[in-house]
Amino acid sequence: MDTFAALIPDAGPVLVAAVPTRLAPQFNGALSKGTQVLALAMDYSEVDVVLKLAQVSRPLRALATHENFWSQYLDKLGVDVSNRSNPDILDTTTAFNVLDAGYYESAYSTVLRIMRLVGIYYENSELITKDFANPADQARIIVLAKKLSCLDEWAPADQQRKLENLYNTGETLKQNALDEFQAKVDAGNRAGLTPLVELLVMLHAGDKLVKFYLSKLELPEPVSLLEIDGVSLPALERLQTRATEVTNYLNSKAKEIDEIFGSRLPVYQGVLEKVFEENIMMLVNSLCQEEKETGPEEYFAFVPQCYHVLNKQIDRLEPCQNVGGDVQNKARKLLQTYMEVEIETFLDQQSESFLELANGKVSQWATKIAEQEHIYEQITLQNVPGSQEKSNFLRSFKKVLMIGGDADTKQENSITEFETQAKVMDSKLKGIETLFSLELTLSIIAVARTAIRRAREFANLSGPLGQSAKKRAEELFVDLVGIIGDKHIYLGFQSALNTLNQYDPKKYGRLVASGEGGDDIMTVEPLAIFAELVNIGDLIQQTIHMFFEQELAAPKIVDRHDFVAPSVNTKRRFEQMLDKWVADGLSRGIDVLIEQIDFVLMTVQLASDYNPLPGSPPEVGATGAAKQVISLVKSHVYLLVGSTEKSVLDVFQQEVGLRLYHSLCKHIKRQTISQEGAIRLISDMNYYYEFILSLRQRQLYPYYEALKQISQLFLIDSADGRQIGVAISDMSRFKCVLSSDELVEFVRRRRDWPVVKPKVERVLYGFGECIIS
Amino acid sequence: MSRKVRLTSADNVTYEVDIEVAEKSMLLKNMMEDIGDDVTDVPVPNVQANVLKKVIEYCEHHKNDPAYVSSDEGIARAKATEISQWDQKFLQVDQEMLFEIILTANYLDIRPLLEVGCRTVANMIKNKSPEEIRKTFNIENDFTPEEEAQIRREHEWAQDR
Repeated sequence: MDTFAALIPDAGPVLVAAVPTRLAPQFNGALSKGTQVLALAMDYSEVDVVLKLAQVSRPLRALATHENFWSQYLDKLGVDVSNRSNPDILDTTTAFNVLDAGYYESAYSTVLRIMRLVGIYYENSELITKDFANPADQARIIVLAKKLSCLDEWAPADQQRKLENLYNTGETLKQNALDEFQAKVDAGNRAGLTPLVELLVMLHAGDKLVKFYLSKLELPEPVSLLEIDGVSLPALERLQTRATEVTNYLNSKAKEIDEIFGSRLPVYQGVLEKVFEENIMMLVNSLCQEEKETGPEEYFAFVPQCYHVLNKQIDRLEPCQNVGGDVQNKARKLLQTYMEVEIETFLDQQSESFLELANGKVSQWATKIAEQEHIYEQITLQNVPGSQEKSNFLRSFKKVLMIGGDADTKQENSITEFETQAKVMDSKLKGIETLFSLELTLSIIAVARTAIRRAREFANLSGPLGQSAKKRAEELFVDLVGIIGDKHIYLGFQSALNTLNQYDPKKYGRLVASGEGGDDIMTVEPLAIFAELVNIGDLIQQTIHMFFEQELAAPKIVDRHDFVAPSVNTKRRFEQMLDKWVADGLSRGIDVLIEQIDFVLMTVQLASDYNPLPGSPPEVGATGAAKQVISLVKSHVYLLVGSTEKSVLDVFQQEVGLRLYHSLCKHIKRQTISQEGAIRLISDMNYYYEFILSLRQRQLYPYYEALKQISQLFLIDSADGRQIGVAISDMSRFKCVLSSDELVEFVRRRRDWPVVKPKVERVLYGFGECIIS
Repeated sequence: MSRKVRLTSADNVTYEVDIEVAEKSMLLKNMMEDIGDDVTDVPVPNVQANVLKKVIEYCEHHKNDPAYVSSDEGIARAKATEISQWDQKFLQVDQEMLFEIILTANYLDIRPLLEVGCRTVANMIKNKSPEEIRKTFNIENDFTPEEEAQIRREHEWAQDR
């Protein structure tokens, strides 16, 4: 028990702390129980009760007027206590400004003054309409009186009742104002609307007013927008006309709204939304539907144009204060929002449609070609165009496909011109046509370009829609390259390669043999056609590259250095594929050419060419076989000039030159050559050499110089057999391309070999004669 | 089984209650915490048995109420709610007892009881004139005539309505 004694507050006869500490110390301990209880009750009483207690006794008055007690209410009322009002201006304080009038004498008198001026309306809301005639003043008083509800925090039921009364007074006021607003709007009387707006805003009836105003808008009937004077004009024209009207309507509304509402209530945004929802979009949707029913192409053309037309109209929207910011920007955002679904649909369907159309065209073409049997039998040499015509055609092809981002009309003109020319050339390109269709490729590229440009119209939109448009544009390119490259060109190259692989020179020997007369027409057609294909493939590759640069890279749809971008990847893969096909084709082409050359050498070279019958008249100049071989080679080594890279061309020509050299070596080793016949052999070798010089492939020179030297060996007289041995021992004479063993193989072909052999061998090996003699 | 403590009144009557009941008084709660866990006997020297019994009755009834919200601003920010029926009935006592309960609630620091007591008093005086209040609470009018005049001036506006 003792432990507690120290802890228990020293109470005395009257309990401690019964009176709040703010009570002046002189009262402490000397107060009656009743006063103590009332002092405590003050902290849990509404202001009315406290004011009453201030009239009961001096100690209670001291408590009930205490500064700290009333400061809390000044806080709650939002009175700026640092703003001390000058007692001289007291007369000017009214119910309207008393809450802003600041602190006056004491917290107690400040609250008292507020209660005297505003509190009476809080206590009795009926006084409001009695004391104030002006609805705006009534509204202001209602707003102010509501703030005084904090004085009744300890009397919730009273507080609730008084607030309800105020609310009902406000509702009546609100309804009257709305009725008046409606009456004036209905009467077309704009004067005096602004004060009503202000009043309703004050009464928190802004939303109601906006709703009411929007419901009263008389938008042009969307259905009547579909036809103009009963005549159905093109969709775009109708859209243009009606959108112009709607824009004018919006501009007139903007003025009206600024006049009536200023920036007090957000009205114009609502008007914009309503116009979009109930007018523009209904029109756009039905026009889109109409175009869809006409055909997909019409629909695809319409959507971007429609968007464009509406954007142009938005440019005409005049500023509106009410919207608080850029009206055009807001309208554009709305347009994007409302058209999003249509644009997505358009992008989806356009891509789908392109794939379907392009694939269909390619397959159709392939089927048609497959149905034509014996394609190559039908090809005649004259079907391969003259080089001049061909290059003209290709140039114009290039020109058309590489046209920049000019206006569509110019573009279309060029395409038409090109198409005309394409038809003219068509008949001259029969050989190619069976492998590859320029017209088809061109038409697919044109469709892709149109589609990409349409998708691009939306690439600058913000958010996922712009991204989606960019993605679609890129996908269209990927699809284009896929269809043109993987399907169409691939098929052509496959077919050409097959033909080259199956090529049998003996079968076509007759053809070649008959061509002795003219150089120009000495051709292995499959190879010529293949070379054409290389030309065109190269052209397509350049076209695709330009297409990518102009349609995707330049408009910043795709970053050309972004090597993971699908379009960049596809383009690179396509280029690699084409290079591989060209390499495969050329390699096989060279084989075919050489087979053909071997065939000519074997069939055309007469045994008497290098070994004339004794006594027959001497012939001069190159033999027919040599002429035909050179004609054949000539017509092929130039096929690729200008159509492929210089390095590829060099490799091709060098390979042909080298393989020809080996063929000639083999060929010579099959002949019997007399001293008389050597003249013609020398002529032939000179002939080959001259041709090689004309190719300007320096690496080939030594081989053909060696051949010339070899031919000289046959001119040496039998008696000078030793000379032969000396000659073939001199490697430098044969440019080091042949060993002496190989050279021996050549001189064995001398008709007098048995005679000269020992002499040659003695020089070469230093014996032989010894053994014989 | 709850811990029990024994409260002894000024006139030496002892009541055994659950510790949660005693802890409704912040004064007793703080005291018991200062002494330690083993405390079993707590004197309440300034409170008479009849009042203590009444206060214990209140605390028993409200034993499971959530703790009284008391922030730094305390009462000023507390939000008034209607007085419950049980509390109303509990406070239907003679005026002397009501005063004792209020003063004891203040002394023992039992805020919810102090609040309902005070609001009951506030309701009592709501419709009374200052003179009637003086009579009810046995208070002497100690204002000077000058002070009376000033008070009248202050409240003239209220009489008009």
